[in-house]
Amino acid sequence: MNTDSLIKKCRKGNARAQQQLYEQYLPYVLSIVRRFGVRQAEESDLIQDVFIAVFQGLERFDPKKGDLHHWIRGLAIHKTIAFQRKQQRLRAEELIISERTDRTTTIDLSHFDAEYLLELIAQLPAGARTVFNLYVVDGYSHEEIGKMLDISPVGSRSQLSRAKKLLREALEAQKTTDHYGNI
Amino acid sequence: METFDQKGGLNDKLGRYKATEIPAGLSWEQMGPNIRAGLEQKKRRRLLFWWWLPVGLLAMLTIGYFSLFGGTTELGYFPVPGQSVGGNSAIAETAAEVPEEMPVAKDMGTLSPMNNPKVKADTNIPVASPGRTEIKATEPSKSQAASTTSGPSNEIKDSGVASTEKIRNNLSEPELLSQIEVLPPQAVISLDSTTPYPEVRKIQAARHPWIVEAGMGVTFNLNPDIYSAKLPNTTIDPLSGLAASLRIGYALPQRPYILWAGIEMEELVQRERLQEAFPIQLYQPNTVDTIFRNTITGEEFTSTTDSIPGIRRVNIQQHSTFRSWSIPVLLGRTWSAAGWQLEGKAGVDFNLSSWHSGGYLVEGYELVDANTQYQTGWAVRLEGQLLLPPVRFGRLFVRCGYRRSMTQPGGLVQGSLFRPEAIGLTMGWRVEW
Repeated sequence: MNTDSLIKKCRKGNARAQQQLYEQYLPYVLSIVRRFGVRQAEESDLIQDVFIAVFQGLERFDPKKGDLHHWIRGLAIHKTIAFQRKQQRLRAEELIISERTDRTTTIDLSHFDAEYLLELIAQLPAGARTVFNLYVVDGYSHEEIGKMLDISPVGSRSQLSRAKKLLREALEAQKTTDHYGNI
Repeated sequence: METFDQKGGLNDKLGRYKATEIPAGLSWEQMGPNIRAGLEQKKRRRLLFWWWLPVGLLAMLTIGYFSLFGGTTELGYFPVPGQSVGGNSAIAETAAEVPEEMPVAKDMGTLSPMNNPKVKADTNIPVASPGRTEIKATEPSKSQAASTTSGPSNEIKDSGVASTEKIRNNLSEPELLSQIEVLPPQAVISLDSTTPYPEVRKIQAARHPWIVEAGMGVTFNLNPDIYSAKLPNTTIDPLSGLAASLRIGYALPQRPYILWAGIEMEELVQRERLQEAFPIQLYQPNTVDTIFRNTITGEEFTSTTDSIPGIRRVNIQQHSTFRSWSIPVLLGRTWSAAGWQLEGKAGVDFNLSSWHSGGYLVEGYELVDANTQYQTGWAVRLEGQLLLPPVRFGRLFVRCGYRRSMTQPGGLVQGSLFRPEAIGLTMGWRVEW
């Protein structure tokens, strides 16, 4: 079943198509949810919210404006952030902590395992982790992040600097060139 | 090179990363029913909103109508004893349609010296007024008649009263003059009066007592299928629907009582509102996927879970539609104040109901279980109705009703104690003649 056919059937409420779409995109959505630090016990609630929004939003989804993959990704990110805010894990006071950028060393991360990097990212403070994910992984600008998190672009930059600093420290602490590449 | 110093630098590595370990609790079998239930709930909320949209629109139109035309209300439907009839158009018409036996009095009434001070200065017109003592009704004077005919008043001419010439012509005949003089004073009708004259009463009594009401609204069942509610893992949607009614009432001579006993039709349609979704475990050996179809919405869904090898465990969703056509017979009592009316009604209705329900298990679109039952029955009703002040074409009403069936549809529930109850809210229009 191709994507267009899948979308059409999901719009009609076909349970088989919904199942196929769910199973196809669940690993992807789950990685986003985990990347943003949602606790394992809360994963199912958030996943459920995300897919309800996906199936509902499919009626408005226009394939000409972008592929389904990116659309679901954006939806999952927004739902995850809204969920975190609802749980009061993204507090404004935490997000506006200023952090001075003092290092600009470029680090090649191509030799690091994705799972290892995700593990490191998950250990970041909530604010820094969220901004880091949105900027470095998902490619949002600081202006967009500021709007999403209700902070200023300057605050977003500060959080990013803080995240990078913490990540560098973590990577330097486990500097093993043989396994993880050059830092 | 993948770095975290640039925007989207880790997109390829982490942005497209897929989790490899999926917990069992996140499987579709576990999550699917909840997701689908969430979708149904949101769909229902949207539908509920759309129901109320026309009601709100109607309310806005009503307010607009009253704002525009509220000041010109002259419709005097069913004056209530004790209520002022000064603004009643029927009375104005009565005054204009004075009986033929007193045409002159009608004309002369407009020339009464009491209304026209100029006439008094040169008064030579006999007026059927109690204030005119010099004119004897029993002894018409020829000299007076002669002076009357020979001396028409210039002031009256100038006043432009259309009936002056007619009066003069009429007065030229002595026999007509004598008719005028014998007219009783009470025959004069004043437009200013609010006293209910006999003629007005006659017209009121001759008015048609028929009333027609048309309304539409929503209705909610207070106690839907309690039998199904006892089933395990059962979810029952609220039983609600739309109701439309057309009624004819007859205002009894002993007003303010109205008998709603004419031709009347009420239709209660409950479309998708009466839907029960409950999982039933069916065991179908040696089958593969089973496709289910909701015959109302056309929705399709498929069973998935294998509980025992070779045996499918499936969920059946049951949909039911309840329709009822009823003929209410009600007695109403009306209370009025400042053009508003409050009406209470009580009575019974006789109804024909159809109950269409069943589970839809389709393999190759084969219907497994569905049935339609018809049953006649009766119910008791209590209603309260608020009627807004009348406007040009009738009046708006809002009605709240309670209905309790005394005979439940067979097969719907077990036990004879169950009596379906429903409340309804109806908005409509009443026309009276």
